[in-house]
Amino acid sequence: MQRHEPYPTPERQREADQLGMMLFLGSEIMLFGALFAAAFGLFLRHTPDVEAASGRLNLWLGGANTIILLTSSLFVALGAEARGRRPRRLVACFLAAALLGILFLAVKALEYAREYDEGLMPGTAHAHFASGPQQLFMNLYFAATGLHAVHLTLGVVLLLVLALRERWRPATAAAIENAALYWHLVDVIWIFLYPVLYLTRG
Amino acid sequence: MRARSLILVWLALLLLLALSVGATFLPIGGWRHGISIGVGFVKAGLVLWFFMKLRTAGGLARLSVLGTLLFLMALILLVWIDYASRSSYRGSEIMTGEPNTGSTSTPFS
Repeated sequence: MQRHEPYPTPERQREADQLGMMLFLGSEIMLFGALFAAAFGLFLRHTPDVEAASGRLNLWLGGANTIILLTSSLFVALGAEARGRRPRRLVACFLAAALLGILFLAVKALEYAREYDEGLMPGTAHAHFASGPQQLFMNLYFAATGLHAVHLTLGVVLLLVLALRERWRPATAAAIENAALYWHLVDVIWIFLYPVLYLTRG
Repeated sequence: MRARSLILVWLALLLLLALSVGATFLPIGGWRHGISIGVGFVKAGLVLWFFMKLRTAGGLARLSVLGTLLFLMALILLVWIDYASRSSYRGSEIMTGEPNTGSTSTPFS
């Protein structure tokens, strides 16, 4: 690893790189944390409504997406592990993870389309809800999964750029490790979104 | 970390996912929500520890994760305290317009 000023050793430099990324990820956790806190408050106050609204979501499509994301995280971890020693494996793993990310977004789009058809998308013409809290739950669902999808899209772009430029201008170790950390965090957020939104059924 | 260990972690994550989906079909009342969230914490722990390399990370990185968790807990805890204490608050009928029944709505009922 190449050392830059003002760090006396490469280890210190790596530690600083990592800490900066961890603090950024911490701010991301607090951003989603506010949405989780809102979901928790809604659940405490309107348990039956939340359970009914959660039951309208497609448990199996959400579960398939969880499998897709967990698998993509495995590929990113394998790719980061191959860094520096097996560049071709790194490219293959990051490309596979990016493709899985795109597959996740496709499944998500299919879900959104179904929810639109069922009148579960707030703000659309034929949306109808059994109660106010149920509409609030669906608002929260679209806000949280939409924000997550934006993060995932950025992650896909990041992985594609890193994989495609590896042939002529390989990224630094810090760039690869930090991109991997970002992808895993997006995975961790979905790990909590899935039970909070899909599995809180009555 | 070797590739084989990473694949084992992935298998464990898939098993835990199956467990949390399975738990939602059990007739155990509100506790199944607790199980699916609890399993989520275990899964997140596995991803943090093995995929995000906290296992081999230095103290500074671990401390930053711990700090984030602390702030997140404060956020969730304060939301919980607010909702849990609302209906037992004297005069809450004035605040919310709802009659004070003296009972709180608990998540596991």
